[in-house]
This record gives sequence, C-alpha cells and structure tokens, in this order.
Amino acid sequence: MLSRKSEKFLLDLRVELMARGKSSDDIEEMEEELRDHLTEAEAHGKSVDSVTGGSVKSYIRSISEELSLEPGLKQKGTQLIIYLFGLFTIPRLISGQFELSTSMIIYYLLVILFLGYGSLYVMKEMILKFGDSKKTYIYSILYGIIIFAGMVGGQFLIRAHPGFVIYEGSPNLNFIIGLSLLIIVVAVTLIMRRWFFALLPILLSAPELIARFVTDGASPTSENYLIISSISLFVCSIVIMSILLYTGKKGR
Amino acid sequence: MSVSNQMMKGLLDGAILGLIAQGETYGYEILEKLKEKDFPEISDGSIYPVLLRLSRKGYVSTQTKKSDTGGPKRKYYSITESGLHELEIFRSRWTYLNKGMNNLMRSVENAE
Repeated sequence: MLSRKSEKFLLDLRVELMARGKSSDDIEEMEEELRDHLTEAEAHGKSVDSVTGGSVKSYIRSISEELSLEPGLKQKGTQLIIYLFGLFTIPRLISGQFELSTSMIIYYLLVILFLGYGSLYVMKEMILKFGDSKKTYIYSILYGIIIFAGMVGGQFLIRAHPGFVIYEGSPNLNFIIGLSLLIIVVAVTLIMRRWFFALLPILLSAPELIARFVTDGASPTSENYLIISSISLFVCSIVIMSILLYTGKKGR
Repeated sequence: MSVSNQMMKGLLDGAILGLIAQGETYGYEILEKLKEKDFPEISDGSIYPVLLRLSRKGYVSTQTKKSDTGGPKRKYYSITESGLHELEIFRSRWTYLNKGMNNLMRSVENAE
C-alpha cells in the first residue's frame, strides 16, 4: 500500500501525461513501473522525493519527453475541429442566414481555444488540485456553463458587429451548400461508424429543415418559421440529452 | 542544461546499458547497483527516462512479470543484439575519452 503522497504523485503523472496526449499504453506501463519502484523504495524507508529529485513538475517533463504521442492524435484532433466547424455552420447554412465575416472567424478560433484547449486545461488543473471529488465536477460544470453563455453571447455580438463580410450567399445557395455539407458529414461519420456523431448534425439541422418545409420556404425571420423551428429545437435538444444520458448510464 | 549535466546524461545511458548487459534486471535493482558502484549524482527517478529511451531505441527488451514480493507487476529489462553493439561502441569511446580527459586534466593540474 503506497503512501498518499506517492499516490498523488502517480495521479499527477497520469493526468499530466494524458493532457500532453501521450500514448495510454505507455502511461499505463510507466505508472506500473513507478508504482513498483515506490513500493520497494517506501519499504526501504524512502519517500516519493527520492524518485522525483524534489521537483514533481520537472520529473514529469523528463518522463514526458521520452514517451510517444497517442497514435493518430493529431489526425483525430483535426477531424474534431473540422466536425465542430460543420456543426456550427451547417444549421446556419440550411436556415439560409449564414455569412462568413471576420468576427465569425475570430468567434470560431475562440471557441476552439476555450472549448477545446481550455476545457482540457481546466479539467486537468481541477483533477490535479482536487482529485476525483465533487469540487472537480462542480468547477468543470461551471466552466462549461460560462463557455456556453460565452458562445450564445458571441452569436449576438457577431450579429451586432460582423466586421468585414467575406462571404454572403443567397438563402437558396446557402441552403444547397448546407444540405450538401450535411450529407457529406453524415456519410463520413457513418462510414467511420460514429453513430452519435452522425446523428448530432441531423438533430441540430432538423429544426431549420422542418421549419423550412412546413412553412413552405417562408423567411427564417417569419413568425411561423420561428415557432416551428423553436419547437423542433426543443424536441431535438431533449432527444440529444436523452441519448447522452442513456449512453452515459450504459457506459457506467 | 550545463555541460556536466549533459555529460552525466550520456554516461548514465551507457552505465545502465552496461548493467542490463550483466543479466535481466528491473528499475529498483538497477538503481541499487548504480549506487553500489558509486555512480555519482543520481536520483531514484532519473533512470526511468533513460530506460524508456533505451527501450525506444531497441537496445533493451522488456518483459512484465508478477513481483516476487506480492507487490505490483514488475518490468524486467534484457539487452538486445543492437544494445550489445551499442554498448561496445560506448565502451570503446569511453576508453578513448577517459584516456584523453585524464591526460588533459593532468596537464591542467600541472599548469596550476
């Protein structure tokens, strides 16, 4: 049985290496080896400081330099960024209201920064600080709420201050591009057998598609269109949440 | 990284390879043997990045076995053919370097 300090060191090592995208097999092996070393060292009256040489951070860095990255990590990261870009743009393209402006590009870059890297950083820091405790979950959820509020607020800011407009297609052209992109994204995710990733853009685009067909192509700002798309969005959100809850329960 | 630190890093690779060449061994044992031989400036954890490096280069092979003390699984290291070849290169370089450095340092001492 290892001391709490040693267990904390092994957890810090694991979290830090995971955050750096190191191969999970290599992390597992390294943790096992250090666990064995620490067990023997503690049996001989030594502490974790004898392993780290006093600086946990610099020791983790020296280990990290020798470990390989998770296979396909860069490829998966790029795929995810493209997918997120699709999720944000396709519903707007289908509604016909899409325009690409400098503000929109800055918005996307900030979303990638805060939603992608920011979430990872916050999760890592919380786990390192509080471990597997309620505080970690509370702070992570708080961060998620702040990001979501920022994303919604960002959309209003973009509309008020679009900056320099790079692309502004006609509603019909936007719809055709949006529908084509939706088909491509769904087809690719189905080929990759990522069922949820295939369903998500459909559900997010469904309110616009349903409203468009039910109102027979009315303006997206008309009362009927807004009511139908809002109800559809509400239903789709419940479906998405139910899927997430169901898969989460199944996973546990 | 200072010159002496870089030197130690390079020497530790050779020293560990030399120890593994003497028979299958594991991390803690390697460390104890290094200390036994009075290998200087070594902290317990510094051997693991080296072991990872040697393993990645294919100089050592690893095998995980159950620990005889009932603790966690233990990773044992053995030298490979390319590891033996690398050790031979290290030894001959070290012999030349050692001779050259001793001559040089003697002349520094004489000058002082």
